[in-house]
Amino acid sequence: MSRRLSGRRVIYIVYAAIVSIAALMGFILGTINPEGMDPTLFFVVDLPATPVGMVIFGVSTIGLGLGALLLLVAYVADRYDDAELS
Amino acid sequence: MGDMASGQIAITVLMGLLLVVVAALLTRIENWRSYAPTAGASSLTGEETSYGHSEKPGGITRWLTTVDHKDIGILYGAFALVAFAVGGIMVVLMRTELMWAGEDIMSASLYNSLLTSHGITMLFLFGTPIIAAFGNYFVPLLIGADDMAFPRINAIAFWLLPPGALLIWGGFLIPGMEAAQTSWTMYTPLSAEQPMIGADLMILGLHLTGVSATMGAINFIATIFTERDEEVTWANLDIFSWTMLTQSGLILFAFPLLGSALVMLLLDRNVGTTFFATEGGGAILWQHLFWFFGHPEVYILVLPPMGLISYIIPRFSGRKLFGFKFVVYSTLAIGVLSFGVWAHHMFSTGIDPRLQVSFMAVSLAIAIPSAVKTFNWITTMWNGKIRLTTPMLFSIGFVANFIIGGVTGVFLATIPVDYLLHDTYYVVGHFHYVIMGAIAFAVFAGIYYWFPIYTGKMYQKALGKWHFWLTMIGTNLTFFGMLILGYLGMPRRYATYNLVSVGPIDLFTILHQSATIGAFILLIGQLVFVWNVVSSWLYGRRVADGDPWDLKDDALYSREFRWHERRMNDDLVLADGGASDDGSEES
Ligand code: HEM
Ligand SMILES: [Cu+2]
Repeated sequence: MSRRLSGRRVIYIVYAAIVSIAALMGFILGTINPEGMDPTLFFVVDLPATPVGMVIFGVSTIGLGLGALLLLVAYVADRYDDAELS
Repeated sequence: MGDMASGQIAITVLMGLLLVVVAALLTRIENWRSYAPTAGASSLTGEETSYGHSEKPGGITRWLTTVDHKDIGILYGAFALVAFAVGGIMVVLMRTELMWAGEDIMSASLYNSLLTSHGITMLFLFGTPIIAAFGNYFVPLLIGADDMAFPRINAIAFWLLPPGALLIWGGFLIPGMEAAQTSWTMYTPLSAEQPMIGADLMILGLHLTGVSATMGAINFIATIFTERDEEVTWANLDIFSWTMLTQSGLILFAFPLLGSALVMLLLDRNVGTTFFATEGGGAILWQHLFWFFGHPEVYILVLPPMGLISYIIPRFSGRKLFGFKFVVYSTLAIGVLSFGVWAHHMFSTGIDPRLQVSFMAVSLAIAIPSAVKTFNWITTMWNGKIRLTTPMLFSIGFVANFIIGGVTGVFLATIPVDYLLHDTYYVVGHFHYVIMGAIAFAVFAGIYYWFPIYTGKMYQKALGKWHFWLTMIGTNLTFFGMLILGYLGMPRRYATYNLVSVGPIDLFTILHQSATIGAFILLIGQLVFVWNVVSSWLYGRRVADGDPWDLKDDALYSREFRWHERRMNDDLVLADGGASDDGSEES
């Protein structure tokens, strides 16, 4: 029937989409720069409340968080996933 | 005072009418019996599900008297989609009002009425019923039952919904009456003091839908426990039925509590009791009762959609669901934990900080089983070969939006963040990512996936893709804008923002406008959807294949499609009056 895509590729695209949304959010908030915004990356690195700073904040937080999930997926899928394609 | 008296008379009359209707329904039961597929002792002997159509009366009588789980499923589905349209039109009006900062196309009080009705309609008249639609049609097929355990209770549960809906919308439908403006949470003292009868009607209607949901839940529990085919053990019960079972358990504990609280509220409003008055139980008592119901309610709405996603993703990834057991365990874990987090909706009411911390801990804990499910969905796809059919697109959209909804929720569950964002648009953004972005997406996935079964036709694929992309883009535009608005301090539940002193109006205007444009895109997408469903159902090409998704290729063929195939074969031989053999095999 329809074409088949590699699952990984689909997931990379979803991952990229979500991280871009985080980046966009950071960019918009950084541009607006509301009062009291004080991004601190992973509770240690102080970032400036600028578009660049906020984009870094959004991309690193969400990117690494979801990235860790994907690494775990890759690890588990290679080792324990025996439901092979027929 | 005169107002009060006439209000009470109106309610008494309405209650009386309701009783008459129920009594009339009961007297009809005898008549229903003759149409019941499971009438008499045959219900115990396990006859084929595909009894002929000739037993059913024709036309409208069939739909009014049916006790067949498939017909009732269709009724639930039709009802829910009408409610979805009503709730959708309400919110399009609201979003249009919010295009500009002032009071432009409607008064603030009308806005509040629409807001209230939109929330209640979407949750109780669309969300719960559309899940019941899938449950009714497919759980018996998936577990190999002839019908639901109590077919007539099933019908009664459905028929409580239309009067419930009329009561809930009564404030709009009855000329000269004002609709409730309590918001869906109906916080006291506001809800106890609002004078309009529309609010009483709404509370009564809500009560009816709660009774309906409870009856449905009892039926699902009984069905899944007692009506399974011998082949269907607990170990190979499908994931959708597991989520329906858990959901029904949640309904059983949550909805009766809502019902009691609603009756108390009605009494406070009409006969001067003081359950929620300051000199009585206090306003916070309502919040505790409401959220003890309200948080489980969000999981009542999300668990079966998660089940649908867990069911559909493997079928278009060409492989079995990864970690099936863990998906079931996480469903059960969510079911239990969801009763222990309600106060995260009440952090800002000044409850004891030690209590707050424990509720925060459980709220963060409940994210874990949700993360487990997400993990399993992604792992299922990882080594899979994906077919981007419309149901699969909606399933992938579910996962993406659910991640955003979940992450924003975890932020909210952190007490200091919640102090900042409570009662802002951020909260609205959060829960719509879940409710629209995930739950509605799963509903669409299910509607497309099973379309060949309940219509015998195939939907138009190009229109399905249009529907998906418009819905995906519209959802993200609308609710992304809301997250930012909330972050900037825009409070929720206002018809205007020119008087709000907390933020820059120009910025608010732009963000609100983008959210409104997103809502219009959503509207267009849903028009495409309606057109697709209606025209494909009426004029689409017949599905001649018992396996329209080619599931047999991947050894993922399942019971409901086997039933579908058998029925098609039966229809072919029906002319001979013969019963066909089960021609399919499970590979
Ligand atoms: C990942 C787990 C989740 C967490 C930690 C979470 C957390 C929260 C918190 C703390 C609030 C209160 C915000 C406030 O009013 O200040 C909230 C509101 C809300 N959440 Fe979630 N949530 C989660 C998942 C969900 C799901 C799955 C749904 C829907 C099915 C949902 C629907 C809602 C709704 C409807 C509200 C707003 C209620 C109202 O005030 O009108 N949430 N959430
Ligand atoms: Cu909650």
